Amino acid sequence: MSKISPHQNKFTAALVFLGLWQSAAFFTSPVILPSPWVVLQGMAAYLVKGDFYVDLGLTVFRGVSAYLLSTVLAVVLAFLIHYFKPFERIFYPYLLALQVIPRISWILLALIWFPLNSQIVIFIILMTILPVITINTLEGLKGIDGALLEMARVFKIKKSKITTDIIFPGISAHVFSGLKVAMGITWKTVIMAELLTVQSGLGAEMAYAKTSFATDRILSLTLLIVMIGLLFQKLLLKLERHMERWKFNHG
Amino acid sequence: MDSIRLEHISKGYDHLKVLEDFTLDLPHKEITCIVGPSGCGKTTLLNILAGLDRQDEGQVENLDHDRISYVFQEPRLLPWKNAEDNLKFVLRDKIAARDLDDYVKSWLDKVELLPFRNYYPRQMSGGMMQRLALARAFAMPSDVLLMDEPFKGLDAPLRHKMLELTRKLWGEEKKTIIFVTHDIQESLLIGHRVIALSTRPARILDDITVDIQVKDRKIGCVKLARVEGYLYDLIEHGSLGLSNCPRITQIKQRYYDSKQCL
Repeated sequence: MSKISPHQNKFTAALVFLGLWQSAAFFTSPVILPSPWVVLQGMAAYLVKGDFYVDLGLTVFRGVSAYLLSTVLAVVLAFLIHYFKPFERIFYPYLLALQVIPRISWILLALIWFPLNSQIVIFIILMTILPVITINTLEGLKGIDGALLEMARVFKIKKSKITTDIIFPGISAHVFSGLKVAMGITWKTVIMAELLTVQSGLGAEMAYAKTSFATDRILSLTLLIVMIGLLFQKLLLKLERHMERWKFNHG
Repeated sequence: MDSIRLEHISKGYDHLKVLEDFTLDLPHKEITCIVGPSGCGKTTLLNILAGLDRQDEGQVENLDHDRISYVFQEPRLLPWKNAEDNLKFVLRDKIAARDLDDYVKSWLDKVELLPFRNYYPRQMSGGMMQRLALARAFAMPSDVLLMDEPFKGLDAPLRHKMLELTRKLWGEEKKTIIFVTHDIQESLLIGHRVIALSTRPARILDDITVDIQVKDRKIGCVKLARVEGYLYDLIEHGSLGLSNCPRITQIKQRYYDSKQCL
């Protein structure tokens, strides 16, 4: 019996999924579940609409800027907590508390604290993913090989070089693991925040679709967001592979 | 140049005294081996010399802490840098930029790693990694090279090859080497001088100048075996905490008497 290639596997899985979706859509109303074809048409309709790209641009801008800002802040915060005891005493308990604060609380607070523009969305994402990246970076810092630091001390290596050549590569795996988790949370949060706060972006577009019971548009937007998320996840994986190329090099 | 002097060094961890009133002279441009049972304080001694640890009492004289290199028990290479970059990591600020490439390549060549300069540590064998660590320590512009059981994990033929390589590199560089090991044979194959230590707190049981030509220091050499047997006896009794007992005096007396007879 001939072996099935991974590509064939993926194709079969997609066919089965679409078949099940189509069958379910056949027996239900389009308001409950539109067919894949209708959803595809909805996606195409968005893609040819000029306004859509303004909303798309806003959503991507908010997601990416919040993500980059959180990454920088989280790494700085993790270094401060790890290397300065007073910082650890002050911030670490709050960091743990931040992790369990519901996203909806941040949304409600942000509605009171900020004007209704991109700031509000960026703030909500930042508060949601900051603890995730910080805690992962802290784990990386705790796991730095003391033997390498000792070697660097004996060989009189400058502190700046120790940071760039030992500490950064040493924490990289942990930081990337945090960044991957944060990436998924970012796209989910940006849509939720836009939907519940500002009047722009793909989240706001979803809110309009919901008010007119346009399930096909909700699903089209969901698929588009999934595609954006996957695209950024792929870029992140490429960056990780580049940074950690020593793990994959076979000589 | 005055020899490095450890004077009345004491060092303890909580209630554990590792070194107590320890005094030792280490002549420059020689290979001094320090042998003793595991846990007797050999590594502590090296770490004090390296400035990685601070003694509780006493002082170290005639040693410039900025001109020390170290071969550790494990190679301690950066896993994310290839062989060439591992050397450059240590040498970049110490060797002029225009000479660095050639300098690094010449050292990789000396330890037969030039064809593997793009290999990452995970692609190298234990012996290759330790050769790279050896090149890093010798290539570093230093006066003193500390070696802490550097070939411990290697098999006997490879260990022997590494000792020969160390001896060869020492011949070219003439660094002061302080080589710590628990393997008496290893110390006799490489050292100009062997210092036998007792169990902790470490005391010097004997200080031997190895007066056998390097080329004659082969495994199975009768003269070497005699010294080896003596040191083995000495350390065995010293590791029982009997450093001042009459048995130790007896062992020493017997050895030196027989040496005079030959």
